[in-house]
Amino acid sequence: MLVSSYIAPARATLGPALSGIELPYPSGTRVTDPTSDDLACVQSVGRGDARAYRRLVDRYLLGITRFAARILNDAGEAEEVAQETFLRLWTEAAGFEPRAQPKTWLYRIARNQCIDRLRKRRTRGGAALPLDEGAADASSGEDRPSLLFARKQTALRVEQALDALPERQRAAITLVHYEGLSGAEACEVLEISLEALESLLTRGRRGLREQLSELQSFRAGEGS
Amino acid sequence: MTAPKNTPVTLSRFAQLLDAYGSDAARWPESEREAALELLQRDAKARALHEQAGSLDVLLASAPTMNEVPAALRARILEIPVRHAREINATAHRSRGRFFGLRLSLFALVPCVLGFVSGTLFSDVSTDNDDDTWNEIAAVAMPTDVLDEELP
Repeated sequence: MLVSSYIAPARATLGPALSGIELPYPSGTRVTDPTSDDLACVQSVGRGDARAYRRLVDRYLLGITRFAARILNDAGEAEEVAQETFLRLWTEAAGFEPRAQPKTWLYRIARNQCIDRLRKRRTRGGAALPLDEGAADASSGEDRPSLLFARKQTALRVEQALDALPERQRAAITLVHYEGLSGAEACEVLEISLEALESLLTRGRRGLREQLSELQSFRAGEGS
Repeated sequence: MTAPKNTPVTLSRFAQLLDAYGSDAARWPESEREAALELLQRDAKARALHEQAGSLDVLLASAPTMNEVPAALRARILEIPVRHAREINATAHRSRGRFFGLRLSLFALVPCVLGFVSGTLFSDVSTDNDDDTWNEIAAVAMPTDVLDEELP
């Protein structure tokens, strides 16, 4: 899908109304769908193009770091995983075979490193993850301390429930629910079939529902 | 489960979709999305299941999340191409240095070996009769009359 095919008619129709709006692409820019653009970028990175590398960093660094942080529950280790993932992008892009999408390739590299780290640190405790609590706070607009406190408690409880899931279920839920990957993309990252993915997601959501049952009734009460 | 496009969705399959992907239709498999949405519109049981799945989704959405990458991390990652090139240059320099040292050592070693070999093969110096040897040398070096003179 070409973004310009949406932008050009919109410019023609709206004319001056769009003049003050800065669009992400200059008019007339041909922008292909993200997957093929990712592929072109990876191929350019393979030829040593640092600008293409930067584009992929801008596109995926946040998601990769967030994914690793969710799996490892350790911000420092998540950053190391992100660094290693992009180092491998830079050094191995020349050998990338476009059987998989670049996006799922990067997530798979990150996930494999997370698994290695989880194996290594079984006996160690992870540092707490400093995550923004935007989702809990941003939407409120209400300043009742008790309500804010309750929301923070809910957020914390949900985080604990996610951490308590087995790694594969947590990875599946993180990819699909938090990173917005499609089922097919999550299957590529986890190297499993769609049936297996659905099974992981179902078991994961069931586990979360059980752990959070008291919160669900709390929220139902809050809504009424 | 790669269903063909616009696969019919039964209530039981709809429940499976909700169990796995939750209530957000954007997460449902594309091939079943349209049929699932149609079922949701016309079936009250489907709507009840959907609402139930939605309550868990609301909770999941409240989990803390990272909204931006730490600037220092981004800077370190953007530096990778430069750092990597520097490391490659340093490695090449080190290996050039190592080979230069090796060549120099060989260069110094060759004359030593040659000297040792030639010394071993062509040396004819005997150390058995030191006196005879010295007398022979003296006879060559000094005039005959000097040798005949008696020393005081």
